[in-house]
Amino acid sequence: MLWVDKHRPHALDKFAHANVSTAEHLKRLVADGDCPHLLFYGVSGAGKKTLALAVLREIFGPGVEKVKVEGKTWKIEQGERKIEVELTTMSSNYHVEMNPSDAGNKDRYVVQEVIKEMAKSRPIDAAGNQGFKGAFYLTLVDNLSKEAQHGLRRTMEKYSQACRLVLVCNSVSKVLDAVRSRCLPIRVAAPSTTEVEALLHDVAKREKLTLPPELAGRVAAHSERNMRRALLSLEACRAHQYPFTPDQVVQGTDWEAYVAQIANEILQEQSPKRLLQIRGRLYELLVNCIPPELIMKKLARELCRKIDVELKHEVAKHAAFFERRLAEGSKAIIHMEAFIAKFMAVYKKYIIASFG
Amino acid sequence: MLYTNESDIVVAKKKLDSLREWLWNCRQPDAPQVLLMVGPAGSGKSAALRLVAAEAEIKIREWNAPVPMLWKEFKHMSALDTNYSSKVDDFGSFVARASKYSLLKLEASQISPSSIPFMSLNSEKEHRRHETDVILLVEDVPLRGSKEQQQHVLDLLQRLTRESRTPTAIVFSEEDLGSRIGELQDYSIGISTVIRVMVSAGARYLSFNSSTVTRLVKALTSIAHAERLTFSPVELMEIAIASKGDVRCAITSLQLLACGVKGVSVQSKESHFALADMNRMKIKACASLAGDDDIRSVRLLECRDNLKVSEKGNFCRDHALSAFHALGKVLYNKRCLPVTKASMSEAPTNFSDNSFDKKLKSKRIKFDGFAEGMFSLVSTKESTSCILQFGNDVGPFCVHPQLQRHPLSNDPEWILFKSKLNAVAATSFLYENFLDFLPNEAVKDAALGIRYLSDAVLLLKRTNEGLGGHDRGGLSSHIQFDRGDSPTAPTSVRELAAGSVSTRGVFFAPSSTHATPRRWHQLRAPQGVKATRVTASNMQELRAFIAEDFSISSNLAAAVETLPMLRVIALCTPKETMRVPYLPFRWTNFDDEQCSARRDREYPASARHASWSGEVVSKEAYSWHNTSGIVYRSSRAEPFLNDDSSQQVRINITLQNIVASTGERDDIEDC
Repeated sequence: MLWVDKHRPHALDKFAHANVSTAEHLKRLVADGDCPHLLFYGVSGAGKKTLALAVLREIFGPGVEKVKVEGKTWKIEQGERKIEVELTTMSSNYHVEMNPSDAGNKDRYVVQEVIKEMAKSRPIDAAGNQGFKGAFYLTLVDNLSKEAQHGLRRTMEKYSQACRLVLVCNSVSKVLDAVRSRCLPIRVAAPSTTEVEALLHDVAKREKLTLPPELAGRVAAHSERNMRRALLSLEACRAHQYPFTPDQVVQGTDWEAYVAQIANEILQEQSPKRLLQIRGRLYELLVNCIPPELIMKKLARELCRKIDVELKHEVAKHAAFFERRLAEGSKAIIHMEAFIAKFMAVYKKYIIASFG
Repeated sequence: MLYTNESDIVVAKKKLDSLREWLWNCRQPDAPQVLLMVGPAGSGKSAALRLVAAEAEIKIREWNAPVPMLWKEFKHMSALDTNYSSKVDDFGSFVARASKYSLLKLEASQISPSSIPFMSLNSEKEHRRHETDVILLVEDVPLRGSKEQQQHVLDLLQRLTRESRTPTAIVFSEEDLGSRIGELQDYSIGISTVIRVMVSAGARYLSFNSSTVTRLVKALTSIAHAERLTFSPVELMEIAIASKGDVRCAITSLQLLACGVKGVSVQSKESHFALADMNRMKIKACASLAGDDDIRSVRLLECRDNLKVSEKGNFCRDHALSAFHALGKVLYNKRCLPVTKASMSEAPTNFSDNSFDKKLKSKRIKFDGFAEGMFSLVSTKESTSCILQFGNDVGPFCVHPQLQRHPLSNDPEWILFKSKLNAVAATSFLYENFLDFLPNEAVKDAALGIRYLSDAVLLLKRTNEGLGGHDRGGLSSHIQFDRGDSPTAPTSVRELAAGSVSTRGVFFAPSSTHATPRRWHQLRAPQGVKATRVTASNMQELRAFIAEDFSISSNLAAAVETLPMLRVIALCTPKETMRVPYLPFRWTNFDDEQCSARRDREYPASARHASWSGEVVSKEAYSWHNTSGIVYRSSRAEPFLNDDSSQQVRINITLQNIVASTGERDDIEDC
């Protein structure tokens, strides 16, 4: 079992490092009796899911943790058309967990029809006598289409007697106002670097390892205030070399190294040929399911780190321009390459102007 | 028109011979029974078969393709208690019937001649059927519809090939290259797939070329002779050339020409015109000379835009521009030779003919849907001199010398219209190939061109939304497939505009200071489709991975954080491999040949070790690759640098350094 799972707080009163006060509030809320729909939002690795699961456990007891994975095809009849939606759900006796955006552009059927059916057909459990029968736990609500979010809003009202929704998303600004106002929004902030460090020390203590504070600091800094990343990184360091040394290499992810390498190649040579070569690299990254926005961000950062101050402003401007296009349009690769080509042109012009 | 004579037919004798050979061999039970005939329309495939069959006195039975019933129609008629059967279903039942035929045939071949009288007692009729052989002819194979349907038809064809004991000829009309574009974009099964599948199932494959001019002329002459018409050889030649090897088209043209001009009295007039035609061809000014009482001159006027002088015919097939030609026209950036400034400035309004009006219109469209900055750039593409006159209300303005280009020799919209490329395909093809056509120092041009393509993609994306792209496939390349019967007809102004932006952008991007290297480049198919497919399969693995692991909340976190770190952990020591709960079993990389999944790779020694040690490992852990995947593979695959060996060596060395120092990747990041 990975440390990320092993040392996850399962109950609301076990939160020790991050989100302590949030957990306390939630505990009181659950103790109060009725619990509204919940919307957790915050950056990746801040502990949203941990909190959400802890809340469910607080309500239903440890039975929530017995989950089974189920892939099912839902057949939905809408007027003349028959639509099939494939969806993987994880469910316990008390709750169902799903990621409706997995269904792609059929997400609105998931939100409207699948939830409706499940809400109807769920047996009344003895444990579910707290006013609602079960909970739906939906992840990544911000990736849902607008139609699906509207559907969600109707579902929330219609079945609020029968069930509760727990929504999790990264960016709350992509969630409709109507949905937001129907939930209790809970912001899960990213932990501070000191909190991450404390977490690392705690985990090391439980694993009976001696962790030099320098290394802990560096791992924490490298993690960009992401707890999952920090723990994974620590575990990778442990796998790589133990006993720890303070100046040990902090293990990063391979795709980041790859992006850094692309940045180097861009700076080495600016030509259509090199551009073509980088296109292959970009495809490789995309194929590995790295989201284009992240590639773009990382690449712009890497480039900005290595260029002259005078250029930084312009590069940032172009990166922002094409990043917006990424969000707007399809075919991410073209926009990314357009940015790289633009950077090459700008950089080459600058090099020629300054060095001749 | 039926051909009864070998000399009348336009098909080469060699093909006829191989047809005969196939037909002869069919009598042996283990010879290929199914013949696949592929060729362009009007190349005489069916005619050749009929001729050969008639020679051997074999009947031809055609599959009567039913009138396809539309689903909506069926819904409407459902009260009438009719059964719905699609064309594919009908084809399926035909194939089933075809194998029934085979049973009878098999019986017949096993029966020795002595037992024939016994047979004839049973049924006179059936016996006769055995005696006279039958060729099944399938001409209208329903290779349309969704992917599943097409696959079904392919399976049926394969089954037919394997099981049929009756000689069966399947005729396919080969479309031009436009349809292959579709194949490359992965939304239709093309003829090459059919050929591959059927030949592997044991069918005999015979390809037909479009008939040559001499053959056509020969055929036309004999027809003219039979109809007692007199045409000059030049005229017939013209008809033959204009029909582009399509016999049917040539004969119809001949018929139309001959309308009302039968008889000896008109013959002289005809020959007179033929002479005039020859003259016209010589002086290459056919439009100016008008035989106003003759319909042909009108046609000549119409054709003059589309055809080269030598191809000017009376009734020509309106030939589509093949996709690769169209792309070539754009990519090679053909422009008129620089004209002297003086001559151009004399008549800057000379463009006010049809084509220029068309351009203006397209520009207006762009003007509506696009940012203002575009206007100056787009409008300068036809700039022939510094001054451009735009209609009456806008005054002439000067174009910056850097933005000036020589006039285009082809209208980009015309290229798109003529070819079967839609905006999506054009954009992706141009994107894939555009960089090859730039000299190595022209980064700025590359940036400009790709910027235009990115504009076009943006427009296309909005097209998607505007049409309510919920149920459509996620890929924009599928969009036109859903939209109806004519995949080539652009349906929205936005799509038109996107096509214009991408082609014109690519036209405009290479600045005139860099001479475009005029050498041959191989056009590549867009890789985007492949990437999407691989990403989808990996995404599935990722979901399985998430379902396995409780801690991850989203695909993103899994792909970006957890999975890469797990790989790192798994690679460190054999002992650590066991700590990793689960790594995707199939993980595809982009470089992999034919996108084959990584199933056949070896287990890493560590995983083997773990399972040997007898400890309980819930999931066998596999590492992605023996070293940290991405970095390693990039050193292996360097296809782009083949021509520049010194550079390749340099890059390989740097990459090998990276590979060697996978542990110290932070250092590389910092350097």
